[in-house]
Amino acid sequence: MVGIDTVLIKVASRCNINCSYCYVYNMGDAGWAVMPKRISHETALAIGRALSELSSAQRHPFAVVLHGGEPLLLGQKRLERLLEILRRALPPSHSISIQTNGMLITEAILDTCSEYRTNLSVSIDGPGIVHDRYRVGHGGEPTHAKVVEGIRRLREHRDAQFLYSGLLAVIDPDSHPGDVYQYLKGLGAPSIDFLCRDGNHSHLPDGKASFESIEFGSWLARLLDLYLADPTPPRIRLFDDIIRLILGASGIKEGVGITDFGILILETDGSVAKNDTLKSAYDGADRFETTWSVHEHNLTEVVNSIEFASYHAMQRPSSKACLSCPELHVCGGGMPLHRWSDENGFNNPSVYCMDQKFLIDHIRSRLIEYRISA
Amino acid sequence: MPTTQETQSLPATAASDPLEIDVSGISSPALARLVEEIRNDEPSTNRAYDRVHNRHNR
Repeated sequence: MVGIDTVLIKVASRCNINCSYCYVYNMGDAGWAVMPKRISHETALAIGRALSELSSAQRHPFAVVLHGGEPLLLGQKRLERLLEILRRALPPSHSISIQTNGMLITEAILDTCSEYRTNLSVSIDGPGIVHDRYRVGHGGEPTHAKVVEGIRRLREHRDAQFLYSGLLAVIDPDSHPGDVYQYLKGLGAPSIDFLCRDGNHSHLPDGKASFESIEFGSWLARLLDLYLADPTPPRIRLFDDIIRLILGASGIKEGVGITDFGILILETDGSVAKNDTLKSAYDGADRFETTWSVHEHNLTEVVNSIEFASYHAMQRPSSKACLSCPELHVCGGGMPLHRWSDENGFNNPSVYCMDQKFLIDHIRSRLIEYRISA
Repeated sequence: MPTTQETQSLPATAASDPLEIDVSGISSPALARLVEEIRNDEPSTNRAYDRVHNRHNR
């Protein structure tokens, strides 16, 4: 049985903003449009029952993350009902988190999250001049000020130490990593993570000139130097994972390393979907051939199926270039979505292969300079 | 961070096994924390299964 460590529930299919790099709305897939705008009470109850059964069938707990669209479009009342259902269904060992754009954070929502032990992470790409280039509203208006206001409320809440989980930034390789680092650090998050833009070999990520170029790798290398030299650093998940992998330990997130992570995605209507980032490959890439739903199917049977196991195995790279690479155990072939090409499907190295190699080499060099061997 | 002069004066084999190194001698707090976590087999986040917060909501 594939062990599930994360259940991602898309509690809202719409978003109050329209980031130009969004894989949900702006990279060719229109699946969101046929989904209910918000999860219904009936679907929430069905999810509660389904997750309770899955939890009982597994030996280890899983984390639940509320996602979307923008999950806080649920509003406080619906959120409270959903969290009540989930907390009733799952033991306390199962964490619940929300990944939000931060613009709809209110005191009432934070009180509800505190009551139901649900923490939040906020998406923000850096200072306003960086963030507002791509994270804009539906009319193209800037969003940074409202995000910062949401983060302020989060930081000032009486339960902030629990509630404030972290920040997540998409890299803009044209930005100054020092400006981004200092700005995000100044927002006081315990953890910060960075993501590369979606894209693949047939549709290069915005900001990447070619497969051979290393815009993102060199940006991250500069950021790493700041991180290592900082006397009071936050945690930066991506760097921590790579360093841990180089030193023989394991990472905690897909995208580096060869640990298989079990992720289950539940759509707004209760259907089971693949990793939603696959949307950037082609329309429908995140859908299973089999139609599964919490309303009709047992999730244990779903994750035990051949089709789910096959999808789960996609995390591992298949290309000869990856399998013969001396850094496979660190790089892991990157995220599946970045491996896509119209010619070879997912049987390619990551479009960020050169960036990953550059960054890993840079980290290895720094470890030697700090007298730490691998 | 060690200066170029400091690193150039080190013999090529000066890098140490993370399980043996004295973390107080690591000048990078981020690295010192990571080495300590690896040595103590600790998870890399404060909370188990905390990694989900890194899933982007785009």
